[in-house]
Amino acid sequence: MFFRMIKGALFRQKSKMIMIAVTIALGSSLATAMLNIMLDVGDKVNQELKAYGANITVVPKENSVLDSLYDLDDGGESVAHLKEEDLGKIKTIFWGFNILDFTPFVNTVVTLGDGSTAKLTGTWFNHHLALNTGEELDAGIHSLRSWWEIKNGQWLDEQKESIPANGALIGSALAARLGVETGDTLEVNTAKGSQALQIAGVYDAGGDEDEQLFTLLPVAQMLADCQGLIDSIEVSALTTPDNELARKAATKGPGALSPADYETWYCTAYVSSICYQIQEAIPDSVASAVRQVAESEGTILDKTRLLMILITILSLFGSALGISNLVTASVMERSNEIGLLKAIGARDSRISGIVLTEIMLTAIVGGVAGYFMGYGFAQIIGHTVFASAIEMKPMVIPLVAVLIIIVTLAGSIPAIRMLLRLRPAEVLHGR
Amino acid sequence: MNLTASNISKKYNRSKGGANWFYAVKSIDLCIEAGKLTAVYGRSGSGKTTLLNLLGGLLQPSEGKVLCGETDIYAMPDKELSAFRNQHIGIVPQGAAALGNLTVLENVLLPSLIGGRSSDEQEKRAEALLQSFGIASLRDVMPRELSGGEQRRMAIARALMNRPEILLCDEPTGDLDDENTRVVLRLLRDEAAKGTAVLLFTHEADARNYADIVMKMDGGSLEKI
Ligand SMILES: Nc1ncnc2c1ncn2[C@@H]1O[C@H](COP(=O)(O)OP(=O)(O)O)[C@@H](O)[C@H]1O
Ligand SMILES: [Mg+2]
Repeated sequence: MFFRMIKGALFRQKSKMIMIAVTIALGSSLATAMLNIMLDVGDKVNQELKAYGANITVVPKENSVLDSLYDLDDGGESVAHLKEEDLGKIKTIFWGFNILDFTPFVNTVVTLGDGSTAKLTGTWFNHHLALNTGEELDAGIHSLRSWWEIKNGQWLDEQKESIPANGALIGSALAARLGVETGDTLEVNTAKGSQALQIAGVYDAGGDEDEQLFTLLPVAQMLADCQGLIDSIEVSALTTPDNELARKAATKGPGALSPADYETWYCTAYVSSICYQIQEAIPDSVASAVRQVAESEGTILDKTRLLMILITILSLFGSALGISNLVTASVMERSNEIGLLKAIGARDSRISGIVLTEIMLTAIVGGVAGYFMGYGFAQIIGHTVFASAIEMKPMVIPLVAVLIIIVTLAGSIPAIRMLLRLRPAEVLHGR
Repeated sequence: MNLTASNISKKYNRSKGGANWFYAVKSIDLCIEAGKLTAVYGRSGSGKTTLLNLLGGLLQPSEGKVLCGETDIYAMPDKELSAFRNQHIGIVPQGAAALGNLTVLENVLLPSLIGGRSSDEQEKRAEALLQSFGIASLRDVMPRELSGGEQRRMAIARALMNRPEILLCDEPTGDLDDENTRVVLRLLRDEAAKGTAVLLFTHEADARNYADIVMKMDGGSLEKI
């Protein structure tokens, strides 16, 4: 009987109930789309930030000055060098625990068989380090370049006995230009010597590195004639986001800080204090933070997120207002029946319960429809704005459900209460 | 049980936010006695429905008290007042008031359902009421299929379902023909004879032949005639 009372309202006020469902569907679709995009794009950028793990580069002091003066970062041989034997010291700094990974680089330009040149970099791939602290670590570009796609062949594995001493990886663009494949041997020459490289794999880095060769450190050191020396180090470290203190230290130098501030700064994992400590550990080096791009991407992401949250809140607020109006109209239209229920002794809460049940049933229909509309919106926005499909997160479903319930209740309860408490006469006059 | 109103008023503000107060019901003292049929005449807009709502515990008066027996009904919270109304006050609202999705029998049963009592006994009572009002054959019909007179009889049956001591009727003969008017008035007369305090708002001249007490309402005030 209770259900037939509700059914009556649902079917006799069809157009109003459809309007309520549509209002809720709109709110729910926007919330679904925004939440999914927010979570998915957030994940994507986070993955990228993690993948671009190298957030500090270490170069010799003299080069750093020259580089910044003449913008000499052309991949050619460096004038000054760091010592290979100092590499392990990076893990001995105060924030050594936060150093996740690092790798040395030796760069040289090699002449190929057809007379053209290419940049060759010697590095660690997954170099096993046993530090004097007792800690063990696999360091190298395998994890620092986790986004590289090995198109054929495989990564060089330094921990395998069978690794060829002349093994190398070649960038996809260079491989295509030279017509080289995995398993081929490639002859490279410098003024200092020549070497046959055995191609173990072709990688796709999606950038300048596709024009390059990567080989083991000793091979590059031999070709560049710099045994025991390296050109630069890439370091991946967990850092604390910068605050006022960190910015002050970064712009004015740690010397400008008061002793207490200095202490705090030194003992916090700011990227600037980690750089400072690396410089302390490695003689004649300059460590500096990179990936400002990623940081600004992060800021933009935060702002976009805020914008999406605002849009979601506003649209839900709009839905609540719309529902409130529709509920008021629907209750007024049925003032006869509601007045009658009150007259025969139905409590306000019971009448509210009946009206709310109707609206909740309508809201469920609208909410489900809205979820699927939102799915469509998310994909459209994903493809036009972010150029990728948006993965739908299951956790959005309960989230949207809760939001819709809150919005529906917030929209209807005040309207129903107002009608029952403040204007009973209007409801009960039977006009 | 008597229903006593002492000095009740209801004022409304004509201009929103302004101070243009007017009284829909003005300082009314009234006692509706058990076993008597009290008839109140009044033109449209004289404040009848407002007074009925005040007496029935549906509308808080601006001033004054309504006592049901010894109980000050507006001193109760909504929950208690609703239960009290359900048990002790029967209301026949103005116009054709029914839940459109329920049958005639279910409509009559509604007060007992809302009061939390549903049993075969209740259903028998509802059927007996329909029988005595001459609409037993219509028990499974939907309210919209009823004639005006049948609807009014159903409304009175519903108001009497829980055997209230007080029965308040808002123009129950409003748009009925003479024949049906007489049927309804006789029903109310019979109910008063059983000891119920009956209040009848009407503009049916015939009503005075059935009433024990006759009053006239005008501009929110009440006078005995
Ligand atoms: N909720 C209200 N707000 C303002 N004025 C009202 C309200 N209810 C009734 N009135 C006014 O009170 C007067 C009496 O109305 P009502 O009691 O319905 O009269 P009747 O039932 O005798 O026709 C009318 O002028 C009506 O417009
Ligand atoms: Mg009226």
